[in-house]
Amino acid sequence: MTPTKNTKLDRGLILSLYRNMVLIREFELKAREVFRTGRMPGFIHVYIGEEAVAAGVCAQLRVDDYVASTHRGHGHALAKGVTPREAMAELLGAVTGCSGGRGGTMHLYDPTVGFLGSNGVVPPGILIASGAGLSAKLRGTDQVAVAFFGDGGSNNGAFHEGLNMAATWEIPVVFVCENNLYATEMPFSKATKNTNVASRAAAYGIPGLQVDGNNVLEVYEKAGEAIARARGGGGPTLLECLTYRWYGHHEGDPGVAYRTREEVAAWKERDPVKKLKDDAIAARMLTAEDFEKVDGEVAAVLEDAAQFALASALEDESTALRHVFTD
Amino acid sequence: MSETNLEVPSAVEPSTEAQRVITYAQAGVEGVREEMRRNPNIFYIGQGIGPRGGNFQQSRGLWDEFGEARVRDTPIAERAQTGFGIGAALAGSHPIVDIVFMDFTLEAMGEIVQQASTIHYISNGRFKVPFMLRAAGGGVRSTGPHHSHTFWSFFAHIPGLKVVVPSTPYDVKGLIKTGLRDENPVIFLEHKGLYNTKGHVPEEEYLIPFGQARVLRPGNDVTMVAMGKMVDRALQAAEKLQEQGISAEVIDPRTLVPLDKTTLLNSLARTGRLAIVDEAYATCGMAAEIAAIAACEALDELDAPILRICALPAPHTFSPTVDAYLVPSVERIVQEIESMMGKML
Amino acid sequence: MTVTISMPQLGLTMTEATVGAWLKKLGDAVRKDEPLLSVSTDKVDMDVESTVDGVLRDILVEEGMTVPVGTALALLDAVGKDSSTPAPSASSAPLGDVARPAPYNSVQIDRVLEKEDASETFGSSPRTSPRSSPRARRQARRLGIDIATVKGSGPEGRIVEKDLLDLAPPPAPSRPAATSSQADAKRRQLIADSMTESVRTIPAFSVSVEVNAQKLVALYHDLSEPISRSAGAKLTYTDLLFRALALSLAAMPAMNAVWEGEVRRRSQVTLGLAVATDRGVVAPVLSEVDHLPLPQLVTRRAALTDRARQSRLSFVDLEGGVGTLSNLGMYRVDRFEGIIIPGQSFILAAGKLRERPWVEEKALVVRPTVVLNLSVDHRVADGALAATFLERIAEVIENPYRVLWNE
Repeated sequence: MTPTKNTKLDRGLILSLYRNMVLIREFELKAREVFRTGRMPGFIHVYIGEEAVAAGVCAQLRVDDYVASTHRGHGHALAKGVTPREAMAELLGAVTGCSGGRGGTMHLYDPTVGFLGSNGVVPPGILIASGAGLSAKLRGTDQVAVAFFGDGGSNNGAFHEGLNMAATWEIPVVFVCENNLYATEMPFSKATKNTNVASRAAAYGIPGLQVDGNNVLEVYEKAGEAIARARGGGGPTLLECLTYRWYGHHEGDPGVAYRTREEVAAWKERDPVKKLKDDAIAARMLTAEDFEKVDGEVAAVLEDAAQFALASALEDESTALRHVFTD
Repeated sequence: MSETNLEVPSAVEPSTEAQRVITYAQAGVEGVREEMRRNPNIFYIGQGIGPRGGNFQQSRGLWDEFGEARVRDTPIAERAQTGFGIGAALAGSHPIVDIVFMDFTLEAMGEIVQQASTIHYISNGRFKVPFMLRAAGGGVRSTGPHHSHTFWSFFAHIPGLKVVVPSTPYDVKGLIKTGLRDENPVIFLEHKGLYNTKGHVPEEEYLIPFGQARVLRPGNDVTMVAMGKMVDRALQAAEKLQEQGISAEVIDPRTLVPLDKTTLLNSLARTGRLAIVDEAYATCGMAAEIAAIAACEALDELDAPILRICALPAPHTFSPTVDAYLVPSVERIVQEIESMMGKML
Repeated sequence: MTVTISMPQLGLTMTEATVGAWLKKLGDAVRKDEPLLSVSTDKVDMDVESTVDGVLRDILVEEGMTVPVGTALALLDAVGKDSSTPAPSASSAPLGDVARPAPYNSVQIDRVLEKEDASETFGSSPRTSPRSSPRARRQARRLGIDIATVKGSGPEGRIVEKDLLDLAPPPAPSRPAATSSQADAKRRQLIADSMTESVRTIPAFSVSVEVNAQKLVALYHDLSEPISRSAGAKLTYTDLLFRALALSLAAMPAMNAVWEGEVRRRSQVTLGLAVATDRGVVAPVLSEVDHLPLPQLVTRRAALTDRARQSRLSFVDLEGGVGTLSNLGMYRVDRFEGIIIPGQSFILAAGKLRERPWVEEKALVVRPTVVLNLSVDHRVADGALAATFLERIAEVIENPYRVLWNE
């Protein structure tokens, strides 16, 4: 395996990272499966292929740290600690979901694990995470916030305003750009002249680095540095993770009208889940059975989550006006 | 035996001159200061609100007392200011985001409508958004098309936002304190033309609940609902109308959400006539909303069509003559109500 | 055909009655002579029966409303042959075939059929019926008047409520502004008689004091919001003064007495409050005022003054007071002397609460003060007793936190 500078490579860490990535992948596959039965309202954006980013970043966070996410947020939610049951139920609009069935895929909320919401708009998560970080700083805690967003978000006003103000105020936030080369069907190279997102950090006076988003250990290490910097009062970092989504922008988009099959195939070869497993086995840190055991556990968890979600009720009309305001 | 006129139950200020007189701006500062002392989680961000004390002196002295950590100037980035405020609210702070000019809240509408107003509901109550957005609207002496708006109805339209439009120093202090104890998104919309007006403001602590209108002038012939700077114009108009024998009741709703329908409709039940004076445009504005409420819930009380006395439908011009013409003047208010009463000039 | 049921004359001297309870709902079938509603006068409760077989179509006067004899109370759709006279005697409403507010319906149709002309007001093309306001139409229904026959005085000939009220003698009393001159004159006479009797028969003297109201003002501000919220009505200074008076009286039983040939003590604290109405001043009472918690006092006072203004006070509301509070503080009246109500022993007159010069520790300062003047029946109390009573009231006001709990 590629030994990385600061990371203490042990079996526990590897299995934990693997487990989270598999959890995300299996969740997304299950979600697609349920979606295809027609029982899932709305539409979903699956994270398959990008698991290493969520898993690697969130493994460095505490439960009281904050994460603000995107429309492609199931991975972030699960990695931050939202339970598969509550997440799957939410996708189905069930009252047992983390948002009571009111948010669905793009509005997963969970205050118990600091998950400030996936989001239907691009990219307010940058601002919301920065605000949470500001609050932590004012309250004198050492909590950190992470904002996930995509290449598409990096051209938006919120990116510029948010990074500028967070940098100036030295807010404990890490900006993680998941650059999967496409914003819906728009290639990044057509949306901007400077396709090096990490380099934009210099414009705001903060460190920016580019990492292989499909190498979970690299993500883990670099995210760790950025998070430590923020926690120590060193302000924000922009972390650009180069990755790729295997499927279309959303379920229903085959994702090949604007991408070549060869490109997709090439990226699938760089499967982050497979890479971690293969590397660990090759380095004789773990065996295939170790991983299969995890696979089996995760499969059971997902099956349970799906059954739970499918059996849960939807919100009754009688509570339609509840929580518009709080008392 | 002698006669008595008991104080009108819905009048707020007692008839004493024992209170001191301060400006609308000072009243707001006082309210914010008291709440910031009481709740260490309140912080204040905006452009020019730090050492300068705010473009309208609406935050004067706060930076001196609470320091840079809690009172901080921002770059010109309304969307970030607002988004940061919302994020901070989710994490347990209670921010005041001062956009200074109401017009520039438009730069942040996405955050206000899509995020602030929805999160408590969509998270099924798991997250609260205790967040105040403060701004001053209204035209004063050719402030022009980018600095004159009063589109409070935009905010009132969206469920999940409370909307406050104070018209006097007394109201500002009491309402801003209530707003800062409210754990919902509160859009606090002052009027830049009122910052230097003066009024009685108790030094002692008091809160004005939301959803409580104020009857400023009792009357029997017509109910005039007015807000912001139009309150004073309505009162002046009422004086002139009295000379014609028309007794106008002037009511300031003070909060548009929640709206004190009861006071308005009770008044209408007595007078039978309703006029709403709003500096905003008539189309789809608060005047239209109040008219609809009256027509739906008190149709049989109406003895005359409902009047909306509003800004004429053109952008706010720089031209001093046309600017004054577009916005309801005391004369226009008087004329319109006179014709409503069936009397022509 | 439509039949109107009007308020009947139920006694020789009866002029008005209050609708008690409707015994039938809209749409109910009704038989001739079957009771439709109960009404009450100051002397008697009675049922009003239907004069025909039919269906109850419209209720024009709600429960609790007091209306003059002859006012239309309900409309019935009569079935079968109508063998009854449509209305009892002494009714002043139009008899016979009372038109429904048909203009209302045809106005709607007119509007739908007419083309809109942007330059004209909507619906102003030739019409078969006069334009009228909803309020006017409601009044027409109540009074049993065919609105098509009414001339409108509103803009462009619109029929407004006033046009109906001008036609019909006694109007619906729910609108305080429209009162009949008959009732006005009668009330004035009552007040004249009462005041003259007082001045003629009660040997009254008065004592007065200026009170430092600084703490009262502070208390008012403290209590205003919570009390108002709890009471469902706005707390006023009058409420606080009233309570101060009640507590003082409760602590001085000698003042809680009236002259009835001899000094007769009262067992309860029942006090009146002067209320200005369109028909003149009236002084309804609240009993056991000293035992009422402040929010309840506020609620009851508000309800009482509402009833007073709507001329809906009952006999019970006006009897039994030992004294009255009259507050002219809303005017620029610094001090005044009230006239004692016959049957009572005193009246406390309060002037305007405002800033005045005040001496504190030999220095001249400015404080909010109020001047109280207590007029007393000398047959019940001498100067010393009256002065002690007034002193006590002053003390409560100057230390008003006692208002919060009984001493």
